Amino acid sequence: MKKIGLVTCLVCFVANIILAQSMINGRVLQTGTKIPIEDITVRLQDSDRLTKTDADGLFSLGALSAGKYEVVFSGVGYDTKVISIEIPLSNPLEVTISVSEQVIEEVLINTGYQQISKAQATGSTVTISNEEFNQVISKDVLSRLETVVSGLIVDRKSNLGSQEDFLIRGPSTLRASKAPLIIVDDFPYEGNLEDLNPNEVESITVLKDAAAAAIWGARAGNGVIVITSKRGSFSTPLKLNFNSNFSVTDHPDMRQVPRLDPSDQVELESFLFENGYYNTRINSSAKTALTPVVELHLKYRDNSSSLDQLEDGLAQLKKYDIRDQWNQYVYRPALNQQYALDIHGGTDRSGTYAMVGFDHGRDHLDAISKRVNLRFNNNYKILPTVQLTSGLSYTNHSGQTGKMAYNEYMDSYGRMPSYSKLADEKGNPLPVAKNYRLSYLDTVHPDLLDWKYYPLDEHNHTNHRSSQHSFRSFVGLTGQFWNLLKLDVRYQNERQLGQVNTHELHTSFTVRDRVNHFTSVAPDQSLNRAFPLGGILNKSQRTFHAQNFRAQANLNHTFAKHQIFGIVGGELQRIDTDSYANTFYGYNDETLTTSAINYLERYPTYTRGTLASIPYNYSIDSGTRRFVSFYANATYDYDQKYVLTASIRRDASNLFGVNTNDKWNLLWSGGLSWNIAQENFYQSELIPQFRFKVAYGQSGNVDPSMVATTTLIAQSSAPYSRLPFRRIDQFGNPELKWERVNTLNAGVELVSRDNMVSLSAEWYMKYTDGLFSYYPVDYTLVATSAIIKNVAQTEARGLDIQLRTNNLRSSFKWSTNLDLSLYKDKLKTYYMASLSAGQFLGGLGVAGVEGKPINAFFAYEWAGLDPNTGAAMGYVDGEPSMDYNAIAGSSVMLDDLVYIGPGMAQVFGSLGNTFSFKGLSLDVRMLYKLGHYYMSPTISYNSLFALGDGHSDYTLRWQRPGDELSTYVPALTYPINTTADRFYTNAEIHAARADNLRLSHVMLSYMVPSKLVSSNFGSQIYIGAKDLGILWRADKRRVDPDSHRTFTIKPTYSIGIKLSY
Amino acid sequence: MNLEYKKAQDTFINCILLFMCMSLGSCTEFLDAKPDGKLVQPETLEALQELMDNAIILNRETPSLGEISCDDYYLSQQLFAGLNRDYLREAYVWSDKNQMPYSNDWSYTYNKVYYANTVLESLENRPHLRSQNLDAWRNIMGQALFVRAKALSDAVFIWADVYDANESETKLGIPVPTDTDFNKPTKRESLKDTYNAIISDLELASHLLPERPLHPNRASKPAALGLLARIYLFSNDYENALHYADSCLSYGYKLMDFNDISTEKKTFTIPEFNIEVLYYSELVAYSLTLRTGSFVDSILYKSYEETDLRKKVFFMGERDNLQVFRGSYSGNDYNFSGISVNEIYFILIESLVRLNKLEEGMESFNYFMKHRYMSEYFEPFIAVDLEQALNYILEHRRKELLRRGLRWPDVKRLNKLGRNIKLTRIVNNREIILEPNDSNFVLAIPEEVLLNTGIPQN
Repeated sequence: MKKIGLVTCLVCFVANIILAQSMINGRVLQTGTKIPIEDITVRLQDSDRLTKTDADGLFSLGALSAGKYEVVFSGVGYDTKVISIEIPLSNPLEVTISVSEQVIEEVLINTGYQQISKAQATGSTVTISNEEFNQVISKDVLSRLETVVSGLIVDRKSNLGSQEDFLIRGPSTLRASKAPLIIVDDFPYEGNLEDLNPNEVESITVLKDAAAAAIWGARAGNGVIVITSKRGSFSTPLKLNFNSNFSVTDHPDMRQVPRLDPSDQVELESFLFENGYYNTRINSSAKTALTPVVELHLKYRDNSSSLDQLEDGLAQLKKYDIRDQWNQYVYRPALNQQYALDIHGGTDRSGTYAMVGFDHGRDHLDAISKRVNLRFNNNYKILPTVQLTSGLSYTNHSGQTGKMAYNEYMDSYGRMPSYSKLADEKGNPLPVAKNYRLSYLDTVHPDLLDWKYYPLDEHNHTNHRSSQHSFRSFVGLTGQFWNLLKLDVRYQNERQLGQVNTHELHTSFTVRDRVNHFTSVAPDQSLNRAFPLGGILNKSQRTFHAQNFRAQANLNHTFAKHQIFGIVGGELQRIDTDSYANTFYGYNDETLTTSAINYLERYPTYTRGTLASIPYNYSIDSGTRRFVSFYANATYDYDQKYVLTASIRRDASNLFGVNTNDKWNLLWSGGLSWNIAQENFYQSELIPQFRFKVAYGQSGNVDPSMVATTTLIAQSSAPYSRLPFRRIDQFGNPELKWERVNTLNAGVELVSRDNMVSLSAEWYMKYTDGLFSYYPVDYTLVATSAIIKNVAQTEARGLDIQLRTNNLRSSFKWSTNLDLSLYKDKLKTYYMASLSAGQFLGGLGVAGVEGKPINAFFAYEWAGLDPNTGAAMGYVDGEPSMDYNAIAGSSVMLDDLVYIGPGMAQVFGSLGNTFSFKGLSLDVRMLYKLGHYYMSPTISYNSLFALGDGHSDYTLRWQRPGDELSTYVPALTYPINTTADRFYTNAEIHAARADNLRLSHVMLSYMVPSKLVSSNFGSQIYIGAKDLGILWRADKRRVDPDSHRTFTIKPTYSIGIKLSY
Repeated sequence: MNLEYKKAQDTFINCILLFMCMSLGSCTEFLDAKPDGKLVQPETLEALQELMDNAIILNRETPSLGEISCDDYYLSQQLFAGLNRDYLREAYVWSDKNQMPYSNDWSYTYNKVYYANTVLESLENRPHLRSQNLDAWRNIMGQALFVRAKALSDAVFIWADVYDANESETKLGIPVPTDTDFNKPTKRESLKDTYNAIISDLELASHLLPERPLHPNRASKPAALGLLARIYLFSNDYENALHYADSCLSYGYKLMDFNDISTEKKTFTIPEFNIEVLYYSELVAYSLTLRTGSFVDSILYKSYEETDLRKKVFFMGERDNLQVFRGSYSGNDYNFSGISVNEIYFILIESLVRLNKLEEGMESFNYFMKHRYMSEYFEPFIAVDLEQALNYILEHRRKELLRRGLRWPDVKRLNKLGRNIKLTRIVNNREIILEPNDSNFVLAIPEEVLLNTGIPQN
């Protein structure tokens, strides 16, 4: 109401007395200040005639014949204004336009089912505009969200980059997928998220609470991310956009991988050799791998080398560090190029959008990935009120693997020693022991294939290619009837074909090893080879077909001060997957032939003469998921003051073994919004917008792998008998239900005068029920130690605050965005077999302690090192003790552990500042996570001995009395005490605060003034950097708590250009 | 509103209504699709047979704790120090605690029982399967009964005391689950009820099973009879032991002649699935039950005469002439724990002698020994009395059936019969002795199981 008032009082024009053709000219001024505004587009409605204002705000549209016209004034940062004029004009026009207020009311939220005004939404949503979305340069879509969505946290502890790590307001499930539901163009997206090209995205809406997400029902428990892609609109001139950028990510520093120091490893292995630790391996008839240190000692022991030679050899080995060689020979900076071109425009009856995108990347290991995106969509008005929408998109994603990653350097016992020498001085690959000891390989039959393993060369003999084609098409018909009813039918068809071919060349180690393994020597010394000499081809294919059908009625009725609108609809979804994998032996890629294999025959093996059969790898899988849903929602708005919303949804799926009646799952939501600023009693000029909202809703989570009856999985070939066999996959559980997430959300939205400050604060409480969780069972009575039941409950509370301020608004502009989230959760109900301490340690995943955070750390109480022996000490009855069975044995209970704290950040968010001057703009964003803990990794003597996995803390170990003052790493003991080791690695001394502040990205862009080129031509140059590292951390150990198990992600620098015509 | 427009509108609404009706009607069918093509319920004979062919669960991983505890092998100080699990070190010295985490010997045992119970329950709940294919039905049921009995018998030798007709009603046996309901409390049956359950399963199985199995992974009638003979021998019921050993051998299984086995340049000497194997299974592989993880007791090794072919066939000298075992009936590293003809012969011979049939016993004994000694040097054993005969038989029973988990229950059994076998371990220059009939001969149940169930420890 206010706005209309404002508009009427500001519009002025004076009648013209000249009757014939007359010039239209005038001046544009800013409302209030009356400052002339430059660069405002002035367009005559329904014509091509347009111009721009000059530095004095003056414009001229040329001459027009007498009559009534409408003129549109628009410009970046200003409200668009339309005025009616009557030619002839009496005086030049003087138009005042106001600075746009990014008015909350104008934001539309796309829920995937309907577009609603944010003012009428009662749930919690965040909408990310195209601009915000493009402040980060990346190949994918999701990674751009962390810094702009409050309440979203990317939990990098487990595995990097998967959508499982995106938590909206914390985890809503313990065992099922934690990934939010992704909606692309109104339908759930089932394909690969890496296929989405960020250049296609128009806007993103995140539905955070159950009230907002309830409309998506049983799959929305983790929140919903609605992606709307660009499309053509009616009556717009043809426009062309081009975007291209080039990014480079720094060479990672492999020295950050915490490995045992080479000289420490040489000495340790020497020590173990003296103690006979390697005797089992040395005597093994399988001739399993021995490390170079053991080989040197063995030579000396067998009198085939002198003491000098031994010592010299050991000293030589200490010089090499496998990490330096990874830096030198394996890892490289990663590169990525991105190109996207789109064209869109429309007539009054149709709107069209077409785009083509190409991405090309090479990662740190020289793996190549390519992506081609093609998209086309069209809106066509069949009748003035009936509209046909159709679209087609195609994506091809292909890749090729590169060199071996650092964690693949393994031999038959575990990690290769850190002193391994991978290349000679000239850089030629050297062999290392993998399956067999090198000294044994020197003595084998001379006609065997080379049996040595050259890790730096191996990638040259393997050809691994993957390719994925995705097609998505949709068609929709919308009809508007009597202004009241809109009917909408849509169908989407998504198909994906993924293929992976791994060709191990006949020269690869895998093939050479297999051939030799299945070789037997006849009495006349001739060789019998059971395994074909050609390559090995692993071929797998996966097809995927998702179909969605939806019919929906939209109602909208306004009378007097009342407005009612809503939707009613039904939806069918069906996802079919099929896959197979096959291994071909003796493959020749020139003739495309393979060898026939008798998989049932058992052949003698070379080393030991035992019988073994050639592995048979063939698998076929197929599956289907079905959903049927009915839903409705309604909004009632009274006088733009009070809004009531309600939604209801019922879902069913083909959950296996559950009676159809029980498959139906009813979820609902309701909400209320009160626009206080519209009340008569509210007169504040300082804060012209003030709204309060509250909503409650339910959503769910479904894990399609859960079935309610005892089921068997078929497997192809049993040991020895080679008969098909089955194993029990799931144990009967007829009470299986869907998980349920209930959220109560209450928020306020405030905007100050002139949009200087806008604040949105939302408090929520989330209560989950019936979460799938392991329920301990006695393994005397069933073939498992735990089954999955709907038994767990969690509770979470939080506060999401978004503060946007426009600090400076002259020609130099400065605005700040602060997102602050507070989050706290706890497990309310959870079952553990016993409270024995062992199962609460480790801290990744669900801690399992009722009343404590879902993700919590516990540790053994630490009493320091014994000054005499350097042994780690814990407490027994309050006294320091080294009785490890008493401090860390199976009788130790949860109560004996120290609670460290939550593993998930309790306070987190981002801080962004944008500065702009003329066409230049700088955006800087920081991310912070506070109030959580991690266990910093350390040396485990057990994994060091058993798996060769040694941590660099080994160097710091206690070696002589007095060391206990400067180190907490216990002395090495042999034989190792695994209980003592478990105690030390899980002691509270390793717990550290994970709090950190990091510089997420910086982006500098320059909009080339259109005057310099052509008025229709826009161009922007931008440079950006992301993942710029940690600015501050609470823990002094200087490890990155987000990637402490590996090396830190290095910064990526990009440069790019955007052109539009 | 023009006509064309009205028509389009009507068609449109009709389409939507039609869809709504259709989707409501066909929902049930649409939602009954199987989510994973490989999911099957245990409903068909084929599926049940395939469950019984799961060799990973059923033929592998029979409990090794007895073998770990027995005196046929020892660990050098270095091997002992190199063990990477505390609980293995504890087991080696007969600790009265068992700290093994899941999965362990106990869970491997009861996994087999659960599989068998799943099959038996499915057969019971689906009577129509019987008429579908009677032979297959009998075979599957027999296999399930056999699997259950074999698993329980392997376990009862480890976690319960020796069977004694007088005390077995009061002594604790082990849990004997007979269905798949895992919400019931777990309890230990009496030793007598445990043995009775095993025997009745096997008796029924021996009537149902075919004479020849498709593969030694599957149970057969002779295997069931052989296992019955073993159970009766361990319950000191020599009449029945003799009866079942005799019936078992009546199916024409032959002995291998070790004179035909070459030992040159071979890591393993006995062929897999050789003619003596009636039922195939393997012990859980821990490093100290494997060939290279332990050494054969030196006194035992030296007791083999030079003309005894087993000295070469079973053993191989490592460095310093320490002997390792290479004669597993698996033909590989895994220790055989199934049922084979040589064991049945020893049951037959021992039963004969204990039943005072000295002559008959010695005749069978010498027949057997001819297959183990160099034919040109073989001199028949002559026993002047029962005691001497028994001494020969027990000595060679040990020398024939080593590293298959039988020595431990044999020591327990023979000590009850007054043979006074004392076990000694030397660890860190300290001698640890297990006196005959010590309570630690009944091994500890994993602590975790006790915590879960509240059943009493041994």
